[in-house]
Amino acid sequence: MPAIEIRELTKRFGSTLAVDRLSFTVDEGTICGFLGPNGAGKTTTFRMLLGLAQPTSGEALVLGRPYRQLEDPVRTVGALLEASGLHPGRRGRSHLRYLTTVSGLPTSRIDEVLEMVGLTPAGRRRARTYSLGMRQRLALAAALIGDPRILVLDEPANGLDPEGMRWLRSFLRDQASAGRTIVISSHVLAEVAQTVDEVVIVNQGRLVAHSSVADLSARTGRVRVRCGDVTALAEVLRERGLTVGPASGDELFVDGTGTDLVGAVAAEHGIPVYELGVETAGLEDIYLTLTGSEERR
Amino acid sequence: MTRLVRGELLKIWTTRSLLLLTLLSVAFGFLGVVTMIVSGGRAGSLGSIDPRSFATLGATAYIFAGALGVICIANEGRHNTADHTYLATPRRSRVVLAKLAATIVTSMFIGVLTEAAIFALGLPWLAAKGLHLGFGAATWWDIAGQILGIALIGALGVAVGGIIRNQVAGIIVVVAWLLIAEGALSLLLPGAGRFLPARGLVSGLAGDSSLVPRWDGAVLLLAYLAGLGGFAAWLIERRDIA
Repeated sequence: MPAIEIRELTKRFGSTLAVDRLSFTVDEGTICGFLGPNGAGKTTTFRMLLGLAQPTSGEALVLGRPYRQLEDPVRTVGALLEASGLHPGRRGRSHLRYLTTVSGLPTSRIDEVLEMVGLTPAGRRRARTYSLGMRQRLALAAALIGDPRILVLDEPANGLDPEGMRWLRSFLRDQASAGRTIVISSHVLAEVAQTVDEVVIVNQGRLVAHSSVADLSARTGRVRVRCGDVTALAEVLRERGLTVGPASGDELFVDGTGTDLVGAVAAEHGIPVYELGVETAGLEDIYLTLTGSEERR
Repeated sequence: MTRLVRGELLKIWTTRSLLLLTLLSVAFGFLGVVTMIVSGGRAGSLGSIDPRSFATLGATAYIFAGALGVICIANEGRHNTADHTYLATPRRSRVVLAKLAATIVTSMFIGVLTEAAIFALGLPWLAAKGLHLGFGAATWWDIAGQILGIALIGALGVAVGGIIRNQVAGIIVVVAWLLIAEGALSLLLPGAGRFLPARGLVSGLAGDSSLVPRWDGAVLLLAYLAGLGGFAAWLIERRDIA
C-alpha cells in the first residue's frame, strides 16, 4: 500500500483552479520532492492530503485512508505547513505539551524532539522571541513528536539562513535513514535535489513529471561530440533523422540518440572524433523547462 | 475526550490572555463595590444593601468569560495554530466540545475569583461602616447559580467565536451583545427580556425571582449552547481551515 496516494485531486477556489486532477503515489520509505513554482498548488495539495481543506473532487489518502479517518494521526503523519503558526505568548515547550497531552504521548518526547532540532534552551522562551529559523525548528519538532512513519514538509527551507539550510539537509538525511517516508515541497529544486529519491513536479495545479531523479536526468541527456569536421558530421547525422544542435567550434550536441550511433556514423564517414560522451542537463534546467518558469524569474 | 479537554485547558492557561481577563473582571467587580458603597453612603441607603444584591456585583464576570470563550477558539485562526490543533485531532467537533468544556471550567475560575475579590474588598469595608452582611444557604445557592451562568456565557462565547472566526469581531459582538444589545432588547421587548442569556437567564440563575426559575433558566441556557455550539461545530467540520 502506498504511503500517500493522490487520485484525480481537484480544488477550485471560485474561478481559480488551484489543483487540477492531480494523481501520484509515494511508496513507503521513499523521499519524494514535491516541486513546482510558487502558486503551483503544492500547499493546497498538502492541505487536502492532511484533511485541512476539502477537495472539490478526487481524493487524497494516507496509508489508504483519508487523513481525517486515521486512528492515530500524530503517530502516523508529522506535518510542517508553511502557514502554520505559534501563539506568540506561548512558550515553545507548551506548544509541544499540547500535542503530547492530546495524543497521550509521554512528556519526555518534548525534550527528545527539542534536542533533535537543537532547540533545547529556547524551548522555555515565549514564541514571540523566536527567529524564523527557530520557528521552523519548533515546527519540525512538533512534526516529529509522535515519531511518525510519514513526514509531510511544506517548504521547510523557507526563511532559513545558509547555516539553517545545511542543518535542514543533514536533518532530512537523518530522518531518511530512520526509514521514514518524507514528502518535501519546494519551489527551488536545488534545495532538495541532493536529498530526494524521486520528484513530483507540478505546475498550475497539474502534474508535469513524476520520476526518479536519475531517470529525469537521463531522459533529457544528449550526446556531445568533438570532431575534425563538425559541418560534415552534422549533415550526415541529420540525414539519419537525428536532431543536431548548432555547432560551436569543433563541438556538436545530438539529441535523441546514444554515443554508439554517433561514433559509428563518424567512423563510417572517416571523420576523426576527439571526444564523445553523454551530457546530462542540470536538474535545475530540466525543472525550469518543465515548469516553464525560466521566463518568470 | 479527557485528554482533549486537558489540552485545551493547557492552551488557555499558557497564555497571558487569561490573566488579563481575570484582572479586568476583578477590576470591574471592585468598581461595582466602590460604586455601591460610595453612592449608598452618600444617599444614606447603605442599609438597603442585602447579601444577594452585594453578591451579584460579581455577575459582570460574564463579559470576560464571554470574551475568553471567543479568544479560546478564534485565536487559533489569528495565530494560525488551528493547523496543529486539527492535525492532532482531525475530528473537529471533538475539539469544539473540548473547548466548550475547558472554557466552562476556566470561566468558573474567573467567576469564583471575581466573587472572592468582591468579598475581600466589600465585606470589611461594609463592616467598617457598621453593616454586617450574613450569608445564608439561599445566597450561596444564588452565588453558585451565578457562577454556573458565567460559565455558560463563556461557552456561548466559544460558539460565537467558532461561527465568526475573526477574534476581534467576535469579542466586539459578544461584549456589545452583553452590554448593549440585551439592554436595548429588554426595553423594546419587555416580555422577551427574561429569556435573554445574560440579563434574563444568568440573573435568574443568580436568584432573581422575577425572571425564569433557576433550573428552567439553566436548561434554556444549555439549549442555547447546544444550538449555537452545534452550529459552530457543524460549520467547523465543513469549512477549510485557513
